[in-house]
Amino acid sequence: MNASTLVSLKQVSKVFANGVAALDCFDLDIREGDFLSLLGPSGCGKSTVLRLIAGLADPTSGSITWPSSLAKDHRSEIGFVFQDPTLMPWANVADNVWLPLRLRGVSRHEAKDRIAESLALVGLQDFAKAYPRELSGGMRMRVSIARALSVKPRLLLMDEPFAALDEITRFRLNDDLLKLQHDLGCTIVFVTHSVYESAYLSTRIAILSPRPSRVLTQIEGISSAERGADFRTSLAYADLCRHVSQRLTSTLKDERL
Amino acid sequence: MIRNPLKFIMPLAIFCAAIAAWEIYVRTAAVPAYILPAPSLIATTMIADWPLLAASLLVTLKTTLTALVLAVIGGVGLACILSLSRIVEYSLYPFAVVLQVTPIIAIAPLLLIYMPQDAAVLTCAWLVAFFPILSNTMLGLQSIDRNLLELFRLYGVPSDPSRMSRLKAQVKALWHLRRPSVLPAFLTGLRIAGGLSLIGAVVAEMAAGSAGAGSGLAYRIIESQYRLNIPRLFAALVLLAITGVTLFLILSLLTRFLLRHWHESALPQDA
Repeated sequence: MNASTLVSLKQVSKVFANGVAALDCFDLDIREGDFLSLLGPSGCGKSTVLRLIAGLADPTSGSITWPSSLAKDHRSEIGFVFQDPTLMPWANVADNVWLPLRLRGVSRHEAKDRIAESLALVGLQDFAKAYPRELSGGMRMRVSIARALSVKPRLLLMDEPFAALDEITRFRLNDDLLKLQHDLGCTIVFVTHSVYESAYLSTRIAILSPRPSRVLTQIEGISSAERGADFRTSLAYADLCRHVSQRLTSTLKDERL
Repeated sequence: MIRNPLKFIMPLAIFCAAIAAWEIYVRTAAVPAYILPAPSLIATTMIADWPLLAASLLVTLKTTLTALVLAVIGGVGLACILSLSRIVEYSLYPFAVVLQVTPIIAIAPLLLIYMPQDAAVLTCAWLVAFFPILSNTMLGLQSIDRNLLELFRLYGVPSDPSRMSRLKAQVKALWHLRRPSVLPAFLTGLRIAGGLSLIGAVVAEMAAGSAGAGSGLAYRIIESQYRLNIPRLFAALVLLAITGVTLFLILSLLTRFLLRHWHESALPQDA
């Protein structure tokens, strides 16, 4: 558990141009190998945290540092998965996965192995030639994840990726995601508003306050080593859900909703 | 792709029946040819006057196609410039609208004073065809998926902030993102513009109304009317109709071909 810190957010505030304060004195350390869930009510600025980490927005004040790395620009180490699959409808699955590499000047031929590898990771190796409209919602999300994995990210940022999917698909993708993280050893920051999803996936859960957002409390999850076979139906999981749920309601009670 | 042969047989049968009814009516009622010529007479006139009509068809076709090509270049170019900044859009777009809503036949006499006849006709046709391409392309450029734009910002913008590399990233985004996502809207504009450029050419030719070897089908129509050569008038009309239909079919096929893989409009109905 004493892994080194990958990204550190210190006293970060973000005020939008329209005067809305999204974050206020936001402190968070993301440790190497973490599966960190950001859990909070909708509209609390969870997505803003991801956008700040990805460098898509700049903090109004405070600092975001990568202590273990000297480089200034970290976008090459980040994979981003949006709430919508955000695929290009005019390109087939392989070309969609190729996009991040293509924008970095990697030719289709050079990227061939990487594309196949990424698609295999999400179990879509047979659908390289398919177009997004021919796929189900869950498969589209898998393509979106494969695209984020194609750059071999150290840090994978996921913004409520499974919120629009049905429960059966979501459960399967949850399991697949855990396996992916185990295989790839990347760090994941996962935004969600589902207590159950965060408890199932995370090694650590950060509960956020409503806007302006800050971290109210952090809860350790159950690591994969401690998990039994049927974790989703296990007593330990139910206890964790109850615990997270209680902490969420008790911390939010003091806040003005 | 053609599942139902009735879809083709039925309109064809009705069309043939209508032509037959016309022929029979003209013959039985003995309608004089200067009022309503029979289809058979129109056909023989078409063959007899073919050298004259073909030359006129070529003139009109040239005007129409040149106007369409120029409208594509101008419309897409201006849409790109207008989409660069809101200020530019606010200041230039009203002019485009004024040009569009003014009936083109009212501008034609002025253009004929300012320019040589060929150029005036071409300008008229261009003005009519230009606007649908501009407005549709602009709509397409404005409705690009915001998340995809973010994605391009995340993966596409280079770390070194030099001007050259940033420009390169913008060109990449233009080619990989804006070009394909604007395509359906642009093609809609193109299909409308195809028909309009023919209308523009005909209207301008009528307004120009001068004789000579370089005169198009619209001029042939006016001339035939003055001479009461109604069969030739009909023959010219038929050629105009065929030109319009052909243009529409070609542009529709082009749309289908370009969007065949991904756009809802180009997919088979029962898919």
